[in-house]
Amino acid sequence: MSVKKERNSAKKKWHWLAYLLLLIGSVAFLYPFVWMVSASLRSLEELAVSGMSIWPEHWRWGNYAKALTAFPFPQYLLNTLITTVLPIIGTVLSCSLVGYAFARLKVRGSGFLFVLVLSTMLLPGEVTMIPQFILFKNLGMLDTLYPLIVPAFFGSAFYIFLLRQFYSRLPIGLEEAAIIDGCGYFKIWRTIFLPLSKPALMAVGVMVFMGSWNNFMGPLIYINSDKWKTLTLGLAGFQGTYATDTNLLMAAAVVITLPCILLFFTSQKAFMEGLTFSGSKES
Amino acid sequence: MMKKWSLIVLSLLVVIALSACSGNGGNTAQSSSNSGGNSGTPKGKITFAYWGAQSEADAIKQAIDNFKKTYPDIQVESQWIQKDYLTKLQTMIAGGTAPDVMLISAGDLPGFANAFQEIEVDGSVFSSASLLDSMSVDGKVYAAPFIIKPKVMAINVDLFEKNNIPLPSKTEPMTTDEFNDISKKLTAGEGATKVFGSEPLYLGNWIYAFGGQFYSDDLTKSALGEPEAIKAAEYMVASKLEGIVPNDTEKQGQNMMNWYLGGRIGMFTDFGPWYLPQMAEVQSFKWDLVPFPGGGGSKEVNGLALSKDSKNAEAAKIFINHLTQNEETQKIIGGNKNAYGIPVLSSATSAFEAIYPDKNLKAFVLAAEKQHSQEAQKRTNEIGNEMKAIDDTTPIGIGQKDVKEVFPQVAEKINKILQQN
Repeated sequence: MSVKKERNSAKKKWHWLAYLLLLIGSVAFLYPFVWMVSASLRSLEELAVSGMSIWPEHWRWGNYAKALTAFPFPQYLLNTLITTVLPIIGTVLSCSLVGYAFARLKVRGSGFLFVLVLSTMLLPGEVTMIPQFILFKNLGMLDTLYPLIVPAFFGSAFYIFLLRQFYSRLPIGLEEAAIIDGCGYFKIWRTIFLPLSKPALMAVGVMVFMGSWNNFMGPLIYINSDKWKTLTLGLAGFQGTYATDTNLLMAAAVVITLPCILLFFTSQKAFMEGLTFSGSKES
Repeated sequence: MMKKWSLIVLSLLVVIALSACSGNGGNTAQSSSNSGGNSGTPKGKITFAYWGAQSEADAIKQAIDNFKKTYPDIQVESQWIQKDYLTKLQTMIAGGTAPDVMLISAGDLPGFANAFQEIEVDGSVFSSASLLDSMSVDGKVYAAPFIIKPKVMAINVDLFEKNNIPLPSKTEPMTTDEFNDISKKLTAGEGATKVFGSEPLYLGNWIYAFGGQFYSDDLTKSALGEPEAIKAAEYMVASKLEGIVPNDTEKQGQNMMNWYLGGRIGMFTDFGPWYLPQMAEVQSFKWDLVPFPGGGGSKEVNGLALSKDSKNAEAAKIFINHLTQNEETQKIIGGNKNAYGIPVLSSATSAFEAIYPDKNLKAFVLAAEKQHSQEAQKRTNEIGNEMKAIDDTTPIGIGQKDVKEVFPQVAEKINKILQQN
């Protein structure tokens, strides 16, 4: 008993060090965000001389009104929501279906196909940018939101890999029992694998959300009209070639970043579970 | 049952959202091909691409609105590209959807000339004959000058008064020796509060203050090995050694404009019109503008180019002529509070000077007329890679080698690239 107590007290002795390190880490990660909020409430002149300080001398709440009326915020927000929500649905459906097939349907050539799918991850985006642009031009989809949505419904190598790993770990008995009960592969995927893979699907959803919400290059290349522009393009409007309206940029950035932060706090547990179980992160 | 309904509702949502994503069936990137048929004035739609921050885009939109009033039969679809302008332009050109009219800087023009049509422009209407030269490649004009962005020097008047230094002339540039002397007088203090005479000097501006330039007049040879360029480089190195400009450690990760705004820089030499809206808010010290020392500095000229593939070229030409040669439009673009740039027509420069009447904006107008244009070559990236040696190996940057040794070597390497053209 005393040995256990001693061990516990020894552990507790080190707890403070762990907390201290975590605290330092938290401050280091939190500081840029706090600075961003602080910068959003300052004048450009004050921003220039503020250095590391995070307490504004004069709180300029008007920066937010100015930043959010500098571009058609509601329109850009709606476009961003459409180009975020639909790709999440598309990616989750297509990648889980393909991932399930690679994990469970053992047919000749499936291994080769899987390697082929993975090999597409080696292609940098810059290489496929112009061919993809020409493709969407020939489809008559330039200056619409389609190029930002449609590709998600055709799967993505990384998410296919992630979900295949997840499905590979599920007990084979589940599938066998369903087959005995007369289920086809599609019904097995829909009624058994999809519900069981919620953590992995959440992880995929969060990653697609982050990618789509912050997507800059896609809207930049495919969108010309103001009515289809997204929030990232609105943000870029505060940056000139040589000078930047940093305070307004930060005010708009705070508002645009909020959904990402909320999503992180609400789904971090499921996100970590999904990644861990999929084998994409060392557990 | 519920699940089935959820699936149906979800599918419907997807279909509705997708159908809402396109109001025009795509294809807006392509211009219409109506050039007016038998009627005299061209009609139809043209597309116009330009870059810039929101404030700059607002200025251009006002100029477009003015054009629409004069030519109601020509519709202008504006394509404002907030960032990575050249990437988008390259993609559109490669994809065969290049806009009819494109804003292009003189520095980028040689690299894009193949995508543009040669145009006829009367150079005599512009404020400076050199403007048309900067819009030319191999003797052919590919764009009409639209706006000028020269460099002047912003001074902290309070620091001058505090050090009993007479204010510089508003029209005549101080000499490089005078600049050096004043910088020494302004420099004071130590550490985090040290005040410097100037921000680190930039070769792209100072080479002209010593009569040098980057290339020979016919752009076939590098002039970096010439005595004037080396003299400019030695002057820059000396300013660092004397401590009148921040050294590499001091300037690391710092924004020099912020230092100027914070009162730590007495003379900010790399001052373009884009800083004016920011400076207009300054209340903590008095400031003004004077010409660039030694007649140096370089001006960025932006022009309007016509796409080689334009399907409504006649209307596009009218648009280009209107934006570059119509006095009222030039006054709109130049007189915008956001200080987009200096008009290319002498008759319109008064609009620019009137933006901030209590500041010496005349310095910009004089610089727009006299300053050397930014020099450009087709193989910018390769030349840029060779130019890195200046920063990497000489005290202008982080190196130790003598500029007299390095500059001729860099010139030789650039010449080899130019010979491959």
